[in-house]
Amino acid sequence: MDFHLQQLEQKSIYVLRETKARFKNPAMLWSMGKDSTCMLYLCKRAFFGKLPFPAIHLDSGHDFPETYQFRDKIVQEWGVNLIIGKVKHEIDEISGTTEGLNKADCLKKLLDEYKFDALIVSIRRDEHGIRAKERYFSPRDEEFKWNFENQPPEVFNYISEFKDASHVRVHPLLHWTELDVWMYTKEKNIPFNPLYLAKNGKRYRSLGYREVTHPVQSNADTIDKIIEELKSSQIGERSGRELDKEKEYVMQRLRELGYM
Amino acid sequence: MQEIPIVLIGHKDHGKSTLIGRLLLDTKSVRESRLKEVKEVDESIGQKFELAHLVDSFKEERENEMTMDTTRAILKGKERNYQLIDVPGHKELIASMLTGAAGAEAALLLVSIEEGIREQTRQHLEIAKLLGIDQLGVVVNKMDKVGYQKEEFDQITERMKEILDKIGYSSENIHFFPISAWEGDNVVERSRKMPWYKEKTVLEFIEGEIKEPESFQNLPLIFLVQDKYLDECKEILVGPVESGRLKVNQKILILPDRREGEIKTIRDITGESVEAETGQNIGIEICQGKKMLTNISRGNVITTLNSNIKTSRDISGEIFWITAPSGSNLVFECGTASVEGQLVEPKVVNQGEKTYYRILLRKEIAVFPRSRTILGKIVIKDKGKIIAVGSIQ
Repeated sequence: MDFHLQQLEQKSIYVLRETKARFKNPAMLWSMGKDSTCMLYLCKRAFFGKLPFPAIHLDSGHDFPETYQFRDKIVQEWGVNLIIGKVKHEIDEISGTTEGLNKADCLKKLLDEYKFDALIVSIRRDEHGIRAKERYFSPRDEEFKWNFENQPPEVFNYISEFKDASHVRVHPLLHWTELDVWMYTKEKNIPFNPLYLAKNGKRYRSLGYREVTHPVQSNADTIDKIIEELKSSQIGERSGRELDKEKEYVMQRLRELGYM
Repeated sequence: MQEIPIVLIGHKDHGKSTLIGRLLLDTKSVRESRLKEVKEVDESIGQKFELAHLVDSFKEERENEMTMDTTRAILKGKERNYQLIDVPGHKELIASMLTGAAGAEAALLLVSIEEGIREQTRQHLEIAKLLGIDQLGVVVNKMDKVGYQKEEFDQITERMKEILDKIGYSSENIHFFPISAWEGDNVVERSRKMPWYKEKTVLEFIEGEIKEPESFQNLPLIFLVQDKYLDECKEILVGPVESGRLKVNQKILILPDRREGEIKTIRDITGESVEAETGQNIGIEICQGKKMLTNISRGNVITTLNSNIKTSRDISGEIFWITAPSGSNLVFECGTASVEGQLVEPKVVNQGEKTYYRILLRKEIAVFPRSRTILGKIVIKDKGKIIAVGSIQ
C-alpha cells in the first residue's frame, strides 16, 4: 500500500485505540456514507476484527432506499451493534433543511439514554472550513456546545482530560481527504453505497437525506473513475447538499449547537 | 507520497494566513468552488475578500481580521504535498499555536517589514526550537509597504540573525525571503519589483529545501504500551512502535521496572506477523520462559536488552509554560506514562515563558533524553489540563 495511506491509517488506528483506552463508553456515528464506513473498517482493524462499541444511525426515515439496503447488509456481514436514533423530519431555522438541528437533538437524547462519554465522528478537515478547525479530541459541554475559542491544546500525542465535558467528540479521520478515503476504499476493497457511482451522467458525491441531497454531473461509474475525477475536480464535495454551505456561517452555528 | 507538515509562525498581523492563502491560490491547491464560496460569503456579510479567509473560516476571525484557532490546508506540490499549518499570532492564543506547531517538520517565520521584530516573533521561534523544529525559513513580508527596498530588508535580516543565533538556530544556514504575500511577490511567482533578489522563492524553498521527516527506524526500540485487550483469554498489549523494530522470540526489557521477557507473538492490524517496525500500531504477547507475562500496563515501555532508553524520576530540561500552575499537585506525562510529581525548579513561573525545569516524580518512568522521539518530550498537567510542554535533557 502507498506509504501516505499507511501513515493516515496508522494515525487513525492510534486515535481509535486511545479512545478505547481513555473512555468507558464510546460509540460511533455511522451514516453509511463512504467516510463512516471507512471508519467502521478501521475500527475492525484497530480491534483485531471486533467492533467493541455500537454504531449509531441518526434516522429520519428519509435516507435513500439504497442506503438502508447497504446498512442492513453491512450490519449482518460485519456484526455491527447498531443503534437507530429516530430523527424528527422537519425543517429547522438555522440550516433551512431537515438534517441540521434535528440530528443534533436526536443525538442529545441518545447520549442521555446510553450515557456515551465519547462519540466517534468521521469528519475531515478538507470537507469544510469550519471542520478544519477541529481537534482529534474535542470536548462538548452540557448543552453540547463547541467552545471553539477555548479548545484544549493537543501537543504531539498528548491530550488534556475532559472532566467538565458532557462527552468528547473524537475525529480519527480528521487528516484524510476525500481522495484519500476513496483510494483507501479501493485498496482495501471496502464496500460502499452504489449511489456514489454515476448513472445516466450523474452521481452523488456526499449522501444525506434524499429530499435535500442532489447528484452532481459525472460519468464516474467505477471507483477508479471516481478517483480520476477527484484528482481534477473543481467542484466542492458537499456541493450537492443543501446543508453545509458556508453562507452566513450556517455550519459554524450548527456546530456550536452540537451538530456533527 | 508523504505529506510534510509546515507551520507558519510569527507575530499577529505579520501575514501568516495571507501567505497560506497566497500559496494555495497561486499553486491552484484550492478548488474554484471553494474560492467562489468564500467570496460569496464575504460579499453576503459586506466584507472585502481577503486571502486569509481561505483559512480563517470563523465569523469572528473574519470580522476581527485575526486567526483565532489553528487550521491546516493542503498545498499541492510537484512531487509531494504539504500541510500548511496556520496558527494565531496573539499572545493570548498560545495554546492553539502549540497545537498547530507540535509535530511540524519545518517552520516559516513571518516578520512584517513595517512592524519589525515583535514579542511573538521571538516567542514563536523559541517554541519552534523547543518543539524540535530544525528546518526554518524567515519570510520578510509586506515588502510592498516599503517600496521593495533592499536596504530595509538587509537591516531586518541582520537583526533577525542575532536573534536566531541566540535561540539556537545557526543563522548562516537560514534562508531569508523578501516577499509581499498580498501582492504575490516571491511567493510562487518571482517578483519583478525586486530585481536585487535572485535567490529562491518561498515555494522553491518548500519544494527544494525542506527535507522529509527523519525516520526513527534506526533508533533503539520503543514500544509504548497504550492498552491491553483480552482475546480468548490471551492478554494482548497494544500500542505504537515509536522507534526501532521488533521480532518474534526477541528478548526484551520492560521499563521502568527492568523485567526481562521475550516477545511471543506480534499482531499487526492485518493479523499475525513475525516482525514490526517504526510507525506501526501493533499488539504483542510477552512471555518469560514458558510463562506468559501479564502485569504489564499502559505507561510501560518495551525496549531491547542492551538499549540506552533510561529510567529516571529526576528529570530536567527546557519547558514552555502555557499557563502558570495553580498549585504543587501536578501530573507529568511522557509517552503513555502519567505520574504525579513535584516541580523543583523554577520556583516562580510566568505564563508564556520558556524556562529551565527540574521535576521529581513519585516513581521512575522511561525516558530518552535529547531525542526527537516522544520519550524526549514531556507535558505537565494541572487538574487534567495541559499547562506546559517541554523537552527532556
